Parts: sequence; structure tokens; C-alpha cells
Amino acid sequence: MELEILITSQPLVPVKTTPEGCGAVVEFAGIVRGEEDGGAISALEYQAYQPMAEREIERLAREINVEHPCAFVRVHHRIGIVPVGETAILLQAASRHRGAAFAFASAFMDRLKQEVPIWKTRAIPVAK
Amino acid sequence: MKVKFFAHLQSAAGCEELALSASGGVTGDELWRLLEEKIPGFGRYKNSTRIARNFVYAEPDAVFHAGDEIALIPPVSGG
Repeated sequence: MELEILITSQPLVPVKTTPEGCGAVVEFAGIVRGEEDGGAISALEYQAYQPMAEREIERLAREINVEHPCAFVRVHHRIGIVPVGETAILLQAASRHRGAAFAFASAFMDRLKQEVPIWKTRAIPVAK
Repeated sequence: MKVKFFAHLQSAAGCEELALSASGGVTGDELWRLLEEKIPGFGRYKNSTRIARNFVYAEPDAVFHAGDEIALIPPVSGG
């Protein structure tokens, strides 16, 4: 599996993925919603323990790939202030057939939210 | 050893990291005792926090040594 990991404070840019031999590309984008805990917000702030987060993303991807083999996986996570409507995480998983890519994406997101040291540290309310 | 704090633990500790002396090595329980001495009340976060050593989650019986980079990992919320 080829793996691309990026943790950045810059806006995430959609990237077209067409790995050779793959008939399926599943893409998940996590978008900042306009509300948090019932209140209107303008942005979320994210923090990462970056060297460990990169290692954990790789560990999870390699573990999940054993059961749901993909030829290519891209994980981009934004940190710092992410405005409402913008992408906080972009995941792409490419495999020969759709089943593995769908399963990989679902399992990866579940585990990322439990194990990778990245935090939403602040919800910035809408200015009144 | 260097101990790093993240998310709400940074404001609880009042800093992003601090140095602890660990001659001979310390267990997780001893680490929390040392932190409680430096930051009274900090022990309240023990049950919800995982410890990482040198960028890897530590086993419960781990012993931490001088030179280790320790990170206290509160519940994560990425994605």
C-alpha cells in the first residue's frame, strides 16, 4: 500500500486519485459544521501532536490494510483554525474493487477518532 | 524527562511542557505523583489520559527514563 500523510495548517486541496489497477476510489471529507454543542460557530480549532499523529495514522492504515487491502491511501488533516464549510480531514482509499475501499475508509475514520492524537481544542462562536 | 501537554491539559498545567527528573526511571503511577506535586490537582485527569513515550502509546507497566519524551494524551477528537 502506498500511503500519503499530511498534517497541515493550510487549506486542504482536493486531489484526483487514479492509481493504476484500482477500480474504486472512496473519498471521505470531514467538513466543519456551523454548530457545536447547539451553538452557532464560525470555526473549529484543531491541535495535533504531530510526530505521533503521523505515526499513528501510518500504524492504523497498515493494520486496517491487512483486512481491507488498498493500493493507495491518502490522509490529509488540517490543524489550526478551520472555518465552517472547510475540510478538516480528507481521506482517500483506492482498491481493486469497491468493498475494500469502503471498508477501509469506515474502519480508518472510526479508529482515527479514538487513537490519533489530534484534538478539537476550541469552537469559535459566531461574532454577534 | 520532558513531559508534553495537549488540549485542555495545557491550560490545566499552565504550560505546554515541563521537565521532570527521573533518576532510575519512573512508572506511570510515579509520573502522576510527580505531576501532582508540581501541579496540585492535576491528578484528576489521570483516569482519562493515556501516556505516550517517544511517540508511541505506552504499556501500563512501562517505566519512563531520563531522555524520554513523554506526552499526556487526553481523549482525542480529530476528524
